[in-house]
Amino acid sequence: MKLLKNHSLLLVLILFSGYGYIASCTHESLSPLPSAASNTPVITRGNAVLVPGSMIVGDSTQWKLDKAHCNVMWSTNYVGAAGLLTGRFNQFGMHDVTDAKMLNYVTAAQPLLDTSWAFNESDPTKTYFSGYVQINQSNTGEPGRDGGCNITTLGTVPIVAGTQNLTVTNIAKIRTTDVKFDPLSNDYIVTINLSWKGTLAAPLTKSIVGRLKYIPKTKVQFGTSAAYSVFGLQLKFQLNCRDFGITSTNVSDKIDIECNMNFNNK
Amino acid sequence: MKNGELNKISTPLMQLNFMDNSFFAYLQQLELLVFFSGYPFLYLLIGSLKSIKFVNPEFRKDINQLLPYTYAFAGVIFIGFELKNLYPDFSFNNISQRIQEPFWYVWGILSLLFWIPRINKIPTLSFLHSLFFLYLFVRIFKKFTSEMNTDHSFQANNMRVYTISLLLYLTILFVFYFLSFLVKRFLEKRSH
Repeated sequence: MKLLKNHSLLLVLILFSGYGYIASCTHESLSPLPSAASNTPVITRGNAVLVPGSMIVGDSTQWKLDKAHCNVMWSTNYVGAAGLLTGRFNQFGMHDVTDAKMLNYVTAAQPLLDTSWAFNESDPTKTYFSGYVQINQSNTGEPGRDGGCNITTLGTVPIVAGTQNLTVTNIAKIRTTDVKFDPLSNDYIVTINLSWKGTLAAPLTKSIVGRLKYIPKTKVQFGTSAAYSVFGLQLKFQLNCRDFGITSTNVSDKIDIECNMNFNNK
Repeated sequence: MKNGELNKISTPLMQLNFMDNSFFAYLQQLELLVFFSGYPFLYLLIGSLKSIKFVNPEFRKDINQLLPYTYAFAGVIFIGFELKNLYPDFSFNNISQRIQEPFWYVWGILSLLFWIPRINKIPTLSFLHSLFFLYLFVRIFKKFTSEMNTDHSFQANNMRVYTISLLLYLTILFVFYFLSFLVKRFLEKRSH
């Protein structure tokens, strides 16, 4: 009888323990392990094809450079060692300024149509652009510097009111020679030819690699006015100003350039 | 952080009433379970050896006699563990703050009584004494199973504690049996 009790108690305890182990099973060992984090960047590209056409107002298939909402900025380390000196160019455009077009234009508006570009999101071989800045339109917010030492330092001439100076002494141009996908991001790697005279006797053309970012097309509408679409292109690159004869020790060798171009189809 | 402040933290664990809303009390229950909850199973397991004919009767007898000592030794380890936790402040204030449920502690410390030959002559007493801890274990397990059935982590932890306790007793019993075997052999050689 005692033995039976002993066995019964043991059986009860075994059953309880067994139940305990089963009930406490968290199935951790049965759950599949979460997949390892991927090092592969997530790259999603659409197939937007954006071209300026003739920039006819009202044609939504033709994209216009919205210059009022664009900027071309530069920055460099002050004396090559301290914080950034920054500025922007007040006058710039996206036109392939050939030698024949390198003139003084008496106008307050864009002297040339901003039509020298095309963007193809899925086929970078069809993407290209040209652009320019007027060097004497560099604006650091310090009038004494912008109209003074900057002029001589950069080898250009002072601003003439009402004139857009696209002559060889005052223009820096870029033109893409190659555009390809960046394998690590949604961006594009672009190779550009930068032509600038600086303080040299004649313009120098340097091949520079930069990064182009596409800010996708989006439809916007404000109030009761008609909806339209916008998109952006951002180009970043770096140049060595010593290549172009800039000797001022106020600026570093390296100048960073950032172009933020916004377009709309109004 | 004082216990009172800790109790204000609203977690599922502390919403359980059986531990008087004290997380520390729950932890101390676990400590007790580690040291004592495995004994009833071991006792019944050794007791069931009686019905197995091929087990040497002398082995059965020896091991049965060692059971209360095993239990008492677990009590010694328990006290050592608690003293280590109290070190270096053995003041009454510290002891009273640390010990949430004095009754459980006293009951655990009572296991030391099984060092006394008169008491350990009756192994059933050690079994009865340890049933309190088995009851404690079942109560905790039942509470977690009924009130927190969405998360098995607490049950898994309780069963881990129970398994450690079983292994602790099996180890102590094995060591005790080995030592007693050596002593016996030594004495036999001396007597020859």
